[in-house]
Amino acid sequence: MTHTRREFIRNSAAATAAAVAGIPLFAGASNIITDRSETALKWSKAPCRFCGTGCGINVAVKDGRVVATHGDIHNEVNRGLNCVKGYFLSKIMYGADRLTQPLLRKTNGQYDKRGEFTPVSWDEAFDVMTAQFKRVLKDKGPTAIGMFGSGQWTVWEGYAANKLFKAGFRSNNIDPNARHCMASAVMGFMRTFGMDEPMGCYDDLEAADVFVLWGSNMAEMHPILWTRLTDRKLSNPGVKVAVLSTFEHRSFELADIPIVFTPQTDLVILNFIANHIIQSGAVNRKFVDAHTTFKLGVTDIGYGLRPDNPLEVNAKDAANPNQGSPIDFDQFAAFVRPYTLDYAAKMSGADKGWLQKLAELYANPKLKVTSFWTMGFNQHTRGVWANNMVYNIHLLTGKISTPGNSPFSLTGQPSACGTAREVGTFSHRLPADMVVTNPAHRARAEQIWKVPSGTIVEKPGLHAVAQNRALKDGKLNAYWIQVTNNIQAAANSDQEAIPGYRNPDNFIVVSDAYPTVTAMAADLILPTAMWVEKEGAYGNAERRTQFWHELVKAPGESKSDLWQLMEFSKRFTTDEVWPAELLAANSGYRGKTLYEVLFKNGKVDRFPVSQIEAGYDNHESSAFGFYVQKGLFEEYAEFGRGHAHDLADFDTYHQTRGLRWPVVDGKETRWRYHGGTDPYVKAGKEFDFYGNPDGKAVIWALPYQPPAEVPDDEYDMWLSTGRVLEHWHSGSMTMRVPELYSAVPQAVIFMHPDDARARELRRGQEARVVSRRGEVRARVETRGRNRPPRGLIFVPWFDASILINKVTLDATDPISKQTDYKKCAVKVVKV
Amino acid sequence: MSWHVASLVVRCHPEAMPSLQARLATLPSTSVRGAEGGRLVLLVEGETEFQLADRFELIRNVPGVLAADLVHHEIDTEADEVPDDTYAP
Repeated sequence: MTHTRREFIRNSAAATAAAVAGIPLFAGASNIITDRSETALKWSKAPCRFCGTGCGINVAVKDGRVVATHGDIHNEVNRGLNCVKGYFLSKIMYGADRLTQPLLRKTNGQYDKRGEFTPVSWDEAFDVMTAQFKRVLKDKGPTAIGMFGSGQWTVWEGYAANKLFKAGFRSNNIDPNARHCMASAVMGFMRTFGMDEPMGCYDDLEAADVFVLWGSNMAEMHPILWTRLTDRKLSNPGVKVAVLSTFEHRSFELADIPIVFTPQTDLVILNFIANHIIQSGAVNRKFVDAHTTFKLGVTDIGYGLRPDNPLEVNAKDAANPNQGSPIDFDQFAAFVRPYTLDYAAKMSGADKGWLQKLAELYANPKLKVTSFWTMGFNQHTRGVWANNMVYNIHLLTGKISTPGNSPFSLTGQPSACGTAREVGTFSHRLPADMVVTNPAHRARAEQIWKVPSGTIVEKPGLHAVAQNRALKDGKLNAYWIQVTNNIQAAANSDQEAIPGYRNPDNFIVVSDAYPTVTAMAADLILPTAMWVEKEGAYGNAERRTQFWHELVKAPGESKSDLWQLMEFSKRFTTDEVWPAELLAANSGYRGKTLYEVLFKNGKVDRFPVSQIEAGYDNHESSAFGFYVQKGLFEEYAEFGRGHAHDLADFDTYHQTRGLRWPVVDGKETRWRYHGGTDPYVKAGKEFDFYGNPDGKAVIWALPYQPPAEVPDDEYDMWLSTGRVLEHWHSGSMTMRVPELYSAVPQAVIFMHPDDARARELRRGQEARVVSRRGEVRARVETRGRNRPPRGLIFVPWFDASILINKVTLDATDPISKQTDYKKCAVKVVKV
Repeated sequence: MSWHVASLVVRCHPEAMPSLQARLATLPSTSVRGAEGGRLVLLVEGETEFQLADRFELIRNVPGVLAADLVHHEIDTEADEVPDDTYAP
């Protein structure tokens, strides 16, 4: 039998897929697997650049370019599969408009905020940037400088930025874009368990009997996890899937229990389920008595709007929204008693039968339940409450921390967990769940960082939304943004972010690989090396830390964010940024640059470049003369080792496909807080929620409250925003891949056909989406993957030409300060 | 001229598999290479990645497709060989 080369390639592609699927090919087809491509190309491992799933990718390099990628069959997250976005990873670095040198706004050869972007050298870029930061530091001090970072920062980039701002500049005004996506999840974990991040892991996907999706469209947003869930259901017909959302989407195709509810009434449904569990006698009293306590939360907490907003003025608990007082089980039972089935159905508009069925699945002691959620819960003015309330259900039934019993908060960004949360780049946080407000935590950070006692400032800095407001108000004047597109991402951008960036008092620096709308709103743009153009580390949603090597050189003069941060730190001395008292008491620090204090400190610089694995470049280490990433990682790991956040040693991660922390004695931890699986559980205890001093998790009594804005006669529709599969977040990368751009070229208004008809709109016609804050135009879509009920529209936000965040409301959860992008009132008007 | 090939794994309800298999086989430049227990192995080829991306979208939108993930992708820029029967055994 003869084979042409292409027939050979066809057969090998089919055989690889068959191996991944675990099925045979049809008779007659070849089962030969060729390693032809493997010999022509250099293959290395890396985690995917996109979502928080953390799929393993094999990356092929030829002549200094990434030419192919495929799913890594040895990575247990994705087992050889790859979603559409991951498939085009090899192209994200090669967009035609890639930035390759610094660009400064200039007129007549001088920096001018109203000038045109002009190519400059790195030296000139840093000269102007340094002068601007020094001007602001001199005039107003460290509270007037700030940084906005990202859950796409590598672990060491976030760590270096956090250290530079909190210990170097003594400014806590550093916050990640994870504030927009994960802050409510963080505070939910902290309030219930005293410790961040899920107790379970993706292995729950193969162990659960019931999956409940709360405000998560996994089919489009986490396709590989969705495939694992689909596999579980198809191979076990008894497995049930419930999908809850404010509109129908692709995940409904697998739903046994489909529930579309009125925005914000997820809170009612959650309390109804708790009430059902109690009323039906399904409470696991042994678990509840031994491992939980109860608290009643304060409720008059406002909506995180500007303080002069009428909704804030009278909110008496707005200053301390995180408070609660102890109650007992009976008081909790009485608290949720009004949340009956009738009430839940009336408030949510959902079918009574489905609600009852859902509650019964949670209550049934024989069924293992995994709950998944993402932005539906987190982007919610009561998002922390929603997180607490889903834990209530799992705690009342004891369905937690064992295989398949898992309340699981999914993440959107590849290192929202690994960098933003674990490194603690939030304006109130330090690494390993520590906070700036705690003197013991500050002391420990100062000791590890080798900076004087009193260096870290006690008061939390400005969070993401507060940063934009402070920019507009002229209180934050020198501002650096890395790896994020906040003009497109922040709510109410016409009223807050854009005037803030263009405020003449402010100097705005954006580090990015592409000219995003945020970069175009800046005064200085720094070209950035991305993904495999640098050595990196990400931490995914199941606590898995994954490393990769630098595989290709970044184009032109692009440098990684890490290089930029460290190089910038050379331009400041302690005398310029630290107060006289601090230096007087610690004279050994006088005259040193921040680079010397923070990075060339005898600790971060202790590993030589010779330890970099042979065959891989490392542009930062070559520049600074030591193995930068290893030094930063090993210093960072000190925070967590022995404190239930243990990471393995640096070199291990280059050899493995990631490990889930805590990694103790070389072993990863799959289920935390359970005696059999978590080494931190005290001997003899079955469960131990050791994040809290008493070892118990907190069940919170919290009510339903309406959102900050609801439709009325004039603005008569709900607006919800979100993503689509092909595009990732703001589209800065995916919009550069022509294939993805062509699949979904423009954001559309998904709406019910009857709503369209009532406004004399047809499918494909342009319409205005108008709120009290701004408007955009987009085309109407009445068919397709997203099917809203009457009264609600869904508009994706990836499209820079349709900035839906001009329309959204910047109301936030008062506890987490995370914006609610899922609800505001709009009208849709024919053009 | 370059030639692109990609393999995918599609998930569906097992009872829907026979009809889905028939439906998927009618899509242009798409062949079904394996099917068992609600999983299908698909091969898609085309002259540009653009064509392939369109095909992926088409596949994902076929009713009954619960998940469609990619596995292998290869580009061949050399001209194909002419089958040489002289080597046939």
